[in-house]
Amino acid sequence: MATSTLAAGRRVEGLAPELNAWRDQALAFEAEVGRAVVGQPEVVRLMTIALFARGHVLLEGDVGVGKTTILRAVARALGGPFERIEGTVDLMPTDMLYTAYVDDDGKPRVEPGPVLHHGEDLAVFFFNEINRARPQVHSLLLRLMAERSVTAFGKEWFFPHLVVFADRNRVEKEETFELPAAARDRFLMEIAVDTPADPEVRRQLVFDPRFHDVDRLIESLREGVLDHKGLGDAGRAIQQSIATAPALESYVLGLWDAVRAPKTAGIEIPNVDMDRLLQGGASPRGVGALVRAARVRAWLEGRDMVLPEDVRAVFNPVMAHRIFLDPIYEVRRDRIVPELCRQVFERVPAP
Amino acid sequence: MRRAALAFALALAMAAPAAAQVRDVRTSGPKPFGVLLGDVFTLRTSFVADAPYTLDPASLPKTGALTYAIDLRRLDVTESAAPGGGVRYEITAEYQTFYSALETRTETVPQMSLSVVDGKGGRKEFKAGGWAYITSPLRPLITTSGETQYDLRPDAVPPRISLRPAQTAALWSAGAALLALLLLAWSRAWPPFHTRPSRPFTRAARVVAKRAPTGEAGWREALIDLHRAFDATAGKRLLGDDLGAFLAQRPAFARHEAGIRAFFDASRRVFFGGAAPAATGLSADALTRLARDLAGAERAS
Repeated sequence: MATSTLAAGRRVEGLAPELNAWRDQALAFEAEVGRAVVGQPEVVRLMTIALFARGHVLLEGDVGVGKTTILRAVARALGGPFERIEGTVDLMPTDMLYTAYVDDDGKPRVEPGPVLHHGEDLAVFFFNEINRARPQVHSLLLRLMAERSVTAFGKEWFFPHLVVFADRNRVEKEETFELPAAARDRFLMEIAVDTPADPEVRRQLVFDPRFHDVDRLIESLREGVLDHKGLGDAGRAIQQSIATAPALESYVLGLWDAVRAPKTAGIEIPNVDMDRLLQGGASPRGVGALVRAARVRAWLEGRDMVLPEDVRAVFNPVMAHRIFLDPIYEVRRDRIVPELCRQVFERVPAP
Repeated sequence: MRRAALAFALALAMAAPAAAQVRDVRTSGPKPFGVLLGDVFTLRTSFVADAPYTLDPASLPKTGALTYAIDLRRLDVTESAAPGGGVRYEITAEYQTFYSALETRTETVPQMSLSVVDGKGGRKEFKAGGWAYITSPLRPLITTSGETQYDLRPDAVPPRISLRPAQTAALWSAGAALLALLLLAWSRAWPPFHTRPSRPFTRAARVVAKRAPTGEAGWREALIDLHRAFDATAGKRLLGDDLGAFLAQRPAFARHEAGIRAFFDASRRVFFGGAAPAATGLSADALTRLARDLAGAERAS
């Protein structure tokens, strides 16, 4: 993601003072997370966008690149009640809602589980290794993400401030369960985390003892830089204040058309039959999410209008996991989908 | 009586110069016989005109057909000073005779009617340059049998003109034409040069110059035309944030960086910020100039 030349912290004319204050908070939040997460400014920026767009995030990457550290750092800087759960093959939906144990008197007891532990105030629910959990668990998670509610102990629980962070590594395929399309569509973004390329950052990560003890590293971060309860209102204000011009709307619709009918748009990928490449995807919800994320990005960049650059910056994280390929191409997804997205932006004219 | 004698003397005195206005008229020519059909001969006529008289050039005969059979081919007049203050004229006239004589006979070159003038209205005409010569047939009238040497000879065989220089020139011209065609094909990106990098800015500069001054809609279209030229040059859709990389890759355009950035800024504000074209500060003139500069940079790169 290319950062704009606009200076951070600049007042954005035409925006309400609250939004400018929120923007200062957002930049402070990024700076705070950046103290623990080095060499990943794009990931941190995308996480910030997701928070203000009120969307859930799935991090994907190799083992040991810092996915969990990133999510913990974000949760810490965001503040508010935080809960995590590890995905395992024997995890059942009830394990998320209830904790069953035998008490001192030898009687079985059932207490609220990880999701309900903090009541309806829960701010961040962190699902580690989500692809190790069974589809039953995914389906509960689907409801939690889509409706921000669950049914337990005979009543409905609502989590108005909840964001779900999940991660999965892309190395292992054994004893894992691919997320259903519906569940993937509920994630606003699927962010790929790679090993930092900058030699200086690598040296720091390997030799600086600060990065060896993750618990202390996370504890060193200031807690609650953002007011997590206000994020919903701020997100709504951003969506209403940041303008999308007719030219941008046509541009986004052009991108959408190109993704849905790549052959008509003149997109060619070597060794791929463009007629049968796509099985579906790029749903209206997905494109809506794209515009939401682009608005937040424009606001973070200090503008009151969305530019094609904003759309491009959030396109892959928001759209790539919503494009469903024919099974024979699914194996090569890692190469095909980025190439498809790249060519979409090479073909669709702006303005 | 005395009066009559005086008048006579006066008349004599006045007549004497008049009589002496043209004198010493002579004509000389070649031998006056043996002149045959087609022969050229020259007559020289000389005379002295006393001062203040001079030869009137208008009285000289014109070259061309003089009589039925004689042409005057050339006429030269030379002047020289004559003793006694006059001018000596020598007229060299070249004649050709076309008289086909059937028998030996005398032909005459007519005399020229010449005039001398004194510049004050005085004029004196005289005749000179007549000549007679004897001409005869080229051969006996009745051909002697068996004598073929006087028959018409066959036409001369036309000379064979060498075509080599013309062929060489044609070859060179064909080569030059082919080269020019290749150059034209290259400049127009016709096959086989259609794969060479085209010149999108050159094309855009023409369109922008036409459209930009035609009002708001034209200005917007010109902006889009220039965008497409940037896209074609970059090989992809170029957005404002990509400018740094674009300019680093194509240093020829870096000289116009300020103008390019102003263009992208104006485009953003108009297309995505809803600003009026006038509010962007990018006038039609500036846009046309930028397009022209970029086309120049493109040619230089």
